[in-house]
Amino acid sequence: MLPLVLRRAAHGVLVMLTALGVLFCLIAVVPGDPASVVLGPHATLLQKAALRHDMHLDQPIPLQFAGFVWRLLHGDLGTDVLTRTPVAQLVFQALPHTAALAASAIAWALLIGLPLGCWCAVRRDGWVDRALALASAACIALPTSLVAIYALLLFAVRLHWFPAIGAGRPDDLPDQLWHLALPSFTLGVGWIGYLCRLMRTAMLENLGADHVRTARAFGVGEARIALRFVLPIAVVPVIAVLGVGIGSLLSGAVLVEMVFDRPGLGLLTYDAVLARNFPVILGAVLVTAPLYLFSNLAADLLIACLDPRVRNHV
Amino acid sequence: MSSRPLLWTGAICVGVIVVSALLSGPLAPYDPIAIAPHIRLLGPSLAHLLGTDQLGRDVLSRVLAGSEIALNLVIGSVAVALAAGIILGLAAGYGPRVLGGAIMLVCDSIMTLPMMLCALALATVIGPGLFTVGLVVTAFLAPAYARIVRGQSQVLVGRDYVIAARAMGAATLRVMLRHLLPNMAGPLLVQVAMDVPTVIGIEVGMTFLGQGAEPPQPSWGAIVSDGFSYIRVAPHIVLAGSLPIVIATVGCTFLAEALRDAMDARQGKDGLV
Repeated sequence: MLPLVLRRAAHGVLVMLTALGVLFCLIAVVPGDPASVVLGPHATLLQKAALRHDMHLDQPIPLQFAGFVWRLLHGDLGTDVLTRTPVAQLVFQALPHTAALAASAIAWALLIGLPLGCWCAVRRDGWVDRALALASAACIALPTSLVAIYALLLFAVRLHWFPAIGAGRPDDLPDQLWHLALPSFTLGVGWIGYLCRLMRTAMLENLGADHVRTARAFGVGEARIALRFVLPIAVVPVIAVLGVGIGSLLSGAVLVEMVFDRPGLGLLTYDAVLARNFPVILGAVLVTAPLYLFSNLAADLLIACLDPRVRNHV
Repeated sequence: MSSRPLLWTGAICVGVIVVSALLSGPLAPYDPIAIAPHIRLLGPSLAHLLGTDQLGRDVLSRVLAGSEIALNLVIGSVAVALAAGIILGLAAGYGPRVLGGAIMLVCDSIMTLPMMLCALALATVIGPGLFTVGLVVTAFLAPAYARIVRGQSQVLVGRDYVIAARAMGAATLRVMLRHLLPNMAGPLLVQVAMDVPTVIGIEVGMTFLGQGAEPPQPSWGAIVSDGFSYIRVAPHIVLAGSLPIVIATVGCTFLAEALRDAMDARQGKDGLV
């Protein structure tokens, strides 16, 4: 098990560093200068030069990147240009809110999507299967921003079932969960549809496998076959997809936080975009890299626990 | 029609959007950006079938003009991403192993970044606008295409007809264009159809955050986000703006599912798709 973990972790670190490099190159290559962005149109050349020096933009590109990674490794994400607070502090204040939102969205998707997918596979081509094929495709297709707007209007503004905006009182956990329910469901809708489809395909593949046929020949009941022999293997691709899906989950979280006015990385970034506060925006993007590394590794470990073929095939 | 509901629903939805985009000029009853303050926020009527917005502009005309913007954005960004993805994917699948590994590493790493946050970061540096949206979408779609092309070409290279063509001395470029690309068109087409909702979703999201289409461009995202501000007095604007978004995204996904089913049926459990 340990060699597998080390190998996957090394690969994750490599992917993360490359991602940072690509992001860095993209920002260096596109027209526009972060220092001018921060200072606005009325800045003098001298001010720009000073800020470029502060932001290390006057160094050669490879040196900039090395310094950037070095500071990153020390937890230094730069400084907010408006309030002079470290970006790391702002980002780590916002991160728990976004992480809670993302985690609960995944929880919705697992709680609803997986059982529905299993149902579709076991009752293949029944009317539930056909109806859910349409419904899940629609769930996958709809843009998160649109789903968020309509969920807010229907369930919060019109029906008053859920609170509309904010994250709840800081020291009141039930209130916070109450505020989390609707936004996280909104974020999870697409994933519910996706996991339902994925689970259905994976279950169908395994329901035709040799070991299932053998179990059937021994007279094992269908329910026990589905739960004991098919489900643990069929869930593997779901975990793999969730492990790499954190990026798109965070993309959706930005919009959901905007619509529901929840504190978090998305709202932090949005405010920073309006204030042209470039270091904060970059910091918010950067902090997602270790999140990806962590979720991907967790998914790999879980898969290795579930599937002995992966575990022994190192 | 009844035998393939997914295919037909999808095809009709996409057809409606494409036709309204191509004919948006002749079909639109009014100028989509002409301001008329005396008739602002009117509900649907015979003169204005979908009502007017907060500046008195005809919503139906704006929705039609929005289809044209959406179609241009989708075709532009997907075409560039597809071209880049095919070149990178063929280089990775057919070229030396080290090159392939490096290309795939870069592609994998791009796919790990959250598209929305990167789009916001780039919008602050380059400035907001549909060009920025297109650039980000292209940069994030190309890796997925490269991955498919590489995987498919690795499978196809072992096929008898490819081996035969190479044995007869066909040039690498000829093998790629004549034998590899036509045989991977199916999976690529499915992916493209799946990606159309992503492109539209990013446009809507970015415009909603004020970093996408700029006034007075009547993109669907702009109509929805304008309407969101006036939701209490004129809910018809958001409804009218989101209708084409729903039709386009759901239609494309249905079409993709139908295409995938058709190819699965044709090729069986070949493992190619």
